[in-house]
Amino acid sequence: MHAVSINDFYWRYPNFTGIKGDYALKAISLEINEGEFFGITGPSGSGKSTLCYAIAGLIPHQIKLPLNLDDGIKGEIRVLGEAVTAIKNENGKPAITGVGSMSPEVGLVMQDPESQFLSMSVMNEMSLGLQMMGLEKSEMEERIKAAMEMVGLGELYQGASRIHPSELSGGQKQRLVIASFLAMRPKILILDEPTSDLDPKGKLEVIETIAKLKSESKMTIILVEHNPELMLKFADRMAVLYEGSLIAVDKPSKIYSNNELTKKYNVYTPEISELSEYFSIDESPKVTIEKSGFSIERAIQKHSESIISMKGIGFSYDDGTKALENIDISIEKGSLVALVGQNGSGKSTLSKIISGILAPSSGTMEIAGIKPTNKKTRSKLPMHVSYVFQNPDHQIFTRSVTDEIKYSLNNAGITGTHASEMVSGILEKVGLSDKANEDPVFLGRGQKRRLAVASSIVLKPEILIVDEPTTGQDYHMSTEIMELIKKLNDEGVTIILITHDMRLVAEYCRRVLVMSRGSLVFDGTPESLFMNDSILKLSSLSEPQSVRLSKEMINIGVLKEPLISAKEWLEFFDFMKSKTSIAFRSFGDIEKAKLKILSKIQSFGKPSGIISIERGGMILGSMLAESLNCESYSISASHYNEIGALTKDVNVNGIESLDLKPKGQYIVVDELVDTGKTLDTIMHTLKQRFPDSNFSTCTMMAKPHSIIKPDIIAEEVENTTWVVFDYEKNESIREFKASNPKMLKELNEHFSTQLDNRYAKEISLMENAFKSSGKNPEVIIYENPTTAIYARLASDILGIKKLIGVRNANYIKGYGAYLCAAIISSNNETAEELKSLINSKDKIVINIGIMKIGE
Amino acid sequence: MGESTSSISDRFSQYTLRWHGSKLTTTQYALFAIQMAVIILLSWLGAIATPVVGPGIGFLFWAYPFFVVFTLWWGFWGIFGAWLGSFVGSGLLTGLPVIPAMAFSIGDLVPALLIFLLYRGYLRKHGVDPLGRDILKSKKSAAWFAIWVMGITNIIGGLWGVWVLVLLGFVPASAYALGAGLWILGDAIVLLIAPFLSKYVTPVVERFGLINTGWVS
Amino acid sequence: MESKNQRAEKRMVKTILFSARSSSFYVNMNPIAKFALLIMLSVGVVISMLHAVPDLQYNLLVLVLAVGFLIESGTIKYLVKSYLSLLLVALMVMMVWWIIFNQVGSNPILSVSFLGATLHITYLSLYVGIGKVSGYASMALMTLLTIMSTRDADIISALNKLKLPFKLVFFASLIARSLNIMADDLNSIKQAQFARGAGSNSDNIFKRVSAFMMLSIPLTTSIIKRSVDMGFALESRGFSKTKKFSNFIDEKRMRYSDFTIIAFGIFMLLLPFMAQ
Repeated sequence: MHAVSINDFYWRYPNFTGIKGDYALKAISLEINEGEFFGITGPSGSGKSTLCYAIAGLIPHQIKLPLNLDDGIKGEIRVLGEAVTAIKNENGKPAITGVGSMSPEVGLVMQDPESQFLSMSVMNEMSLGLQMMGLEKSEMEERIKAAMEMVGLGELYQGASRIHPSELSGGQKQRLVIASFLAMRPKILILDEPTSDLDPKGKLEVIETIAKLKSESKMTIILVEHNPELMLKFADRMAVLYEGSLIAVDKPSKIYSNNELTKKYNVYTPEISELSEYFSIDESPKVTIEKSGFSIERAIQKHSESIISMKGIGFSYDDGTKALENIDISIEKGSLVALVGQNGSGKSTLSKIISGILAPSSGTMEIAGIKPTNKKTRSKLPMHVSYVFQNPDHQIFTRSVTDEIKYSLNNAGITGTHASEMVSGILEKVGLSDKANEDPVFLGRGQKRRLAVASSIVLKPEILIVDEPTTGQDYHMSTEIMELIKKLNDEGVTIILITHDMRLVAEYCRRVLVMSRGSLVFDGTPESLFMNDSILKLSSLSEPQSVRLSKEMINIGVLKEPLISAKEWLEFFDFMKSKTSIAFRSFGDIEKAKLKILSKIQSFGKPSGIISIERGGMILGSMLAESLNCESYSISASHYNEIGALTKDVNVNGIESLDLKPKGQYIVVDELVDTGKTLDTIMHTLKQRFPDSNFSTCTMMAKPHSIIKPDIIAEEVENTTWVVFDYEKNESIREFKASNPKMLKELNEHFSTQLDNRYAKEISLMENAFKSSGKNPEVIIYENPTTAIYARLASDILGIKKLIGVRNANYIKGYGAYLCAAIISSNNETAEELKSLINSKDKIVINIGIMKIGE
Repeated sequence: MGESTSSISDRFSQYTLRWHGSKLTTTQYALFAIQMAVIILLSWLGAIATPVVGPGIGFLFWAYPFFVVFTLWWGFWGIFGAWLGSFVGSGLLTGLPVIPAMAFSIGDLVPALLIFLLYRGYLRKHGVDPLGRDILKSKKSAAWFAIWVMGITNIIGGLWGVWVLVLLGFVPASAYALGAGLWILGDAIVLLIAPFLSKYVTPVVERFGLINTGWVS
Repeated sequence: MESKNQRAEKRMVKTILFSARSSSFYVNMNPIAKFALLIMLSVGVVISMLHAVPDLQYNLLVLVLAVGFLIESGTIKYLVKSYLSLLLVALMVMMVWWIIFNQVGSNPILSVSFLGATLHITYLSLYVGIGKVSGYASMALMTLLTIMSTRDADIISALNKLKLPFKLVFFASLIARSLNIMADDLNSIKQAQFARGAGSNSDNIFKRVSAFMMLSIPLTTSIIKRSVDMGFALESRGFSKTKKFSNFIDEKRMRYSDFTIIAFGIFMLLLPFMAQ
């Protein structure tokens, strides 16, 4: 006997007025075996929940139907051999028969745990179903205890009659609902997206419960879920629904490896299946991954003035519960920041404070130039900050999709044809053009969410806070929404993305704020978050599949740093395929390039200054500055923070030491422009920071695939060429030793025979000096431009990637906290001055002129 | 009855004063409990969040227009909700002592009952929408709304409520007229929402098939 | 382990309004005794207030009792935070009304002329005002105390004891449960609307009315969605087919202390008569 047997079933929700809707379920024929763990997946609005309700006998028996039954329902559903729903002819008219709800044999756990609670104590919730079964008290107690223990809530049993459901966490709530059905000892348990409204911790709790059910009970389990990893882990078979039709029923591994099917029907696939060319879900990898020196170039957080600045912000509820404590945040204009953490960690409270909904209990803040100190100033914030809530139902209040968007526009004084054009434009973008005249109440959950997003972004607010914009969306729509948000960000809108989806964080955000119990516990890049196990554990977050794979690769020495998304993995594979040759460049080559560049610079006229990008542009930049006899500056753009650690924010550093003249002409210099992302970010930052100055770009070498074409290029190299400079000898050998033994040979040969040794004396002096000092500096501070070349050489000798070029001692004041710094200067006076400013006992001072070791 | 009114009256004919309309589903059972909770909440909000006229009386009694439409939709349940909202929401939960709260809540029960009787009985037969969707469209409906809902039933409620307070010694007898006047005026202002609620929200509930065709279902 | 300990030492218990101390005498009193005391004290105060000159001592006695129990039950802090200002406004309005509209007594302390009419404030009118206000305050605090110290489960248990049909009792419990959910929804809707610049904090009454109107669509959607969810949750536990609903929670028995409280209530009810 099958647990469930559905035969050619059709269902359409009745519309008592207006036009008939489409079928929510079409020609469904399906058999689920007893004891099977059966998964159901499909995009939003595909009929997954409806199918669950139909199996549970709630549809059509608990739906109010028009008196005259039309063709809205056809077919038959049998559960455990009994007809739950069937259509019979009575006096020539169709009539619904069947037993309806099969309780207690069939249990149903729905999405939102909150509205499934029917009583006011945990104990009552557990007993309710059993009371309806008419059981004796002793049996109820025994069943309740057993069921609560099974879902891991055994510890709540003692005080269960005094605990109100609202006092439980999201995960506990949903586990309690599951337990309340388990106590009824059902033969079939249907779980309709039981984790969709939960935070990562809640999800994990529920998943563990489901895993336990699978291993310990012989129950038939039907699980509706978007998450492919869960499906792969638990389901014996799964079905894909699309627009009410059953598209496929098969093993999860077969379904997820069927690229054509998953793409066509927008099925969420495991991240790794995006790399199906290289990996396979159920077989061994299709490629051999060699060690490589690959290093990903990520977009860099743009530096600009802060639009949100909060100091010491705290918030307490009326009953004294502290929701936020001492929050210090500064968010820069135009950034896209992820805000993550468990439910109740304070994310929403913080967002509500930013958007003016709540007033902080303590602290000061400035949002978009407004200091909201009272109700009146706070009420101005919605004009600058748009907050798209998680539940779209709460934010929609007109009777047509068009009116909903128009409402926002009219509020901002935009009316007439212009408004209409904007409405149709945005509806097109979010795929709701065909629903323009529909009543939003009757849209699907995913569609409502898109409408809520659309009505907020249509006005291009200065700050946009979006809470879980992709929940309940299929893959295609999720991408569309995120691209829309990304585009808005590119246009300068500051975005705060609240999400539990670490894939989104990895792919779209360059800064993550992690909240836990009302405090900010992490502020940094996604990659540093994903590598920080203690924070992940504290905030119950889990890294994306890509990162897990990276960690394994790092362990075996294939990668140096994690690749955090499928996109980065693809870049890695491209890199592996593409780098085929090494090009060596010496100091002599740089000098030749300098001459070439100088001749081209003439067409620009003499620049006011040269801005070298540390470390690549240092040597060429200082040479150019000396030849042109103009001011020399240096800035750096790296994934390393100001103390040189990879674990912190990605930044453009040193911009504060630029005292550029308005209307001045500056040339930004780098040695090699590869993908061009770094240079692009730097240029963007500079132009934003110094709108009145003019900037040109110049490089010794550039590759055709660069996203930015420098104004002056001395030489072009192939995309597939790996360029190694003489002054990178030690670094290159170190790197290639670990990653690419094949190329290491070539590298060694080059350095043993053809090295340009013009600085050999200084190099050996510095090597000896460092060795005899016995110190291990973390940063090199040098006098720019005079000692730039030596600093770059010292960086190679010491393996220090963090350099700070200063034009005079004043600029060093902010860097007083280094434990150990190598200070390189050209004369005693500057060396002493720098030394006195560095607040550390452990300094090495090297004066290039006389090469002496200090302290 | 003429041609046109007969066709309108056909559309309205399902909403009557018969006891049971159709089978009561479990969803409806839950719906009625929830709508009562909403009325209790709105009554509470109205009583505590707006300027106080006298003890326990909020000037803008937000629940009023809502229980008017809930009554038109859900008959008995709406009327019961109006009473419960008044007794618990604007009564007990705001600190209005239990005895006056009980007596005072009749002042909402009776208007709700009278409104339902008139709309589902007399007015339905005379071409006025029994769900009040046409108040903003038809002069006749607007007049009936103004006279019966904003006027007579509201006045009955106000006179009763303040009279109870006077009787219990909470409000001085000489302040009766002013107290009742303010009550009636405040309610009349918030009742202006009711026609809009009827017009915009009734179709949503109707499309779900959730409007009672009789008193109970 | 941490959560286990927290549960074992659970000090506050959620009540209809806010929370109360779980070990409190008043909180653990049988709800029937609690309601009986509330009714009797209220009737006592109403009797006192029906007189032209209310019994100030009696009203103050009830007031002190109410405050004592508020402290004992641990609910006083919620009262202070949420209701005190509200109550004070109501009491002030009441006082003003009694002074203006109750022109009694012969020795004016103060006379004010306004638009041709003269208003006298006498010792007697002040005394009456204070008597009325204290009576009202004592009843209001007693009512709030009862609401803030009673759990919704207690009410259901009391209704069960009255042997009412299961579906009726459960309906009452569902209303209580929905209060919690809808309060959250309503709050969230208001905040969501504020975020779209729709809510109004304006002092203009008509603006506030029209802002409130905007709540109707999301509120209705929320009511319908919640009712479908709850209906389905109920039905998947076999609600409509239930023939026998067995009892699970032990009904609170009346203890000696409960009878003592009722006896005290009767004494307090008779006190005004005895005093006469």
